[in-house]
Amino acid sequence: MAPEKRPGHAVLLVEDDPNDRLIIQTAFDRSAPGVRLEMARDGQYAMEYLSGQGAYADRSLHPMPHVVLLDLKLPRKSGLEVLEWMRTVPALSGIPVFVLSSSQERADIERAYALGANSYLVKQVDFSVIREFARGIGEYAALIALGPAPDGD
Amino acid sequence: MSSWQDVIGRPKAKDHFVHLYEDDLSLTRRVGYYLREGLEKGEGVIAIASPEHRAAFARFLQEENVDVEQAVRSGQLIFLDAAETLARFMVNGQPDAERFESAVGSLVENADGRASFKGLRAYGEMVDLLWNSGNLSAAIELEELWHQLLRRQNLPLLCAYKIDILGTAFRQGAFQSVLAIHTHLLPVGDDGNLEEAVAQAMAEVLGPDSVTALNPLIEATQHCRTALRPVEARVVWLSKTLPQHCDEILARARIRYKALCAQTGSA
Repeated sequence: MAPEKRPGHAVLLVEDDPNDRLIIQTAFDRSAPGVRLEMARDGQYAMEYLSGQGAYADRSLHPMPHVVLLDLKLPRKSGLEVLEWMRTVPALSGIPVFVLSSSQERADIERAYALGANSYLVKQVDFSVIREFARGIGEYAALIALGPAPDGD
Repeated sequence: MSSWQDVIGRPKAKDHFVHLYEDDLSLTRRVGYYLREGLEKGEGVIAIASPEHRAAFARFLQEENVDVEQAVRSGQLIFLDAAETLARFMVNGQPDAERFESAVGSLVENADGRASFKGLRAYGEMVDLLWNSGNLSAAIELEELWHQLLRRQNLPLLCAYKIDILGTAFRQGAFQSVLAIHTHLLPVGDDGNLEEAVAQAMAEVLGPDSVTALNPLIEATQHCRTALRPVEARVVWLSKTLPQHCDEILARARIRYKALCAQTGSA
């Protein structure tokens, strides 16, 4: 029997482009309404969010995500730096990271996997495809949420 | 890619194939085909294999009307023993780069330099000996040495590992490192049985609606340089992203795959 899902699973989107954030938020609203989509607009904010520092200290407002969607080219700290850091922090090392990048460079893909990315997706411009991705991520987050909750949740 | 014949039938220089097999019949069909294609095209062919496999490949070639003795006599087909060749360059449990050059690199260079050949291709299973003896780091190191040799000499190489793609060994991080060194993973089967088995098992464990939702993600996922068919890519995706469900899905898929293969008589 298929597992029963727990509502309110959280996804952290790390994306600096406001247009991309808006499009992805809209796609989740329409295709994965059960997802609580949290946002960080650069790599430094993502690290603060994940470690529950500063403005992100209240986990009832900023829950630990079940999945992280990570752009690579980010101000202050790059996506690869965030990924590398996450894999060294025990409380974060098990959180699945889906890289969402416009880069199709082999070197970027291999580097992301070498640093511990779970999946690598290329950004799409077709909104119907973005909605499909959002629905898939929502379904995936729901499946992940069935397992042990990440530390700090 | 549609079948393993398409993948290895017309190899390009520097192609680095890997075949995962469970039974020797599957291995013999693929390697025999790869060797025969090379011989028929007038290429030099080097096969480094166990005595049992060399005998099986020779039988396959004879059944395909290849004059194996003549090919060996003329130097077009070079059969080497995997364990003996490996012993020539292993030092303290690791392959030594200089000795590898002396034992394998010089052989390739000599064969490649013969004007009578229209190219050169190689098959090797020394890496499998290392892997299945538990020396994973040496297997990865030897793959890297082969990879450098291919880039320098412009020849294709087919490697084989006795590993079940639905088993736990395939999902080990170390084997994923091995996989990433290769340019192509040969399709495990070409009759749709693996696809059907994995699809059924995913639907049973995750639910059909979840699978429908996940499919666009799985299909859009970029992988490292190894070219994978969708079903093999799906197994890799499951192992990287759903480890908590992967064991159950692949265990069920394995049972179904065996049953489907038994029904269709395929390998």
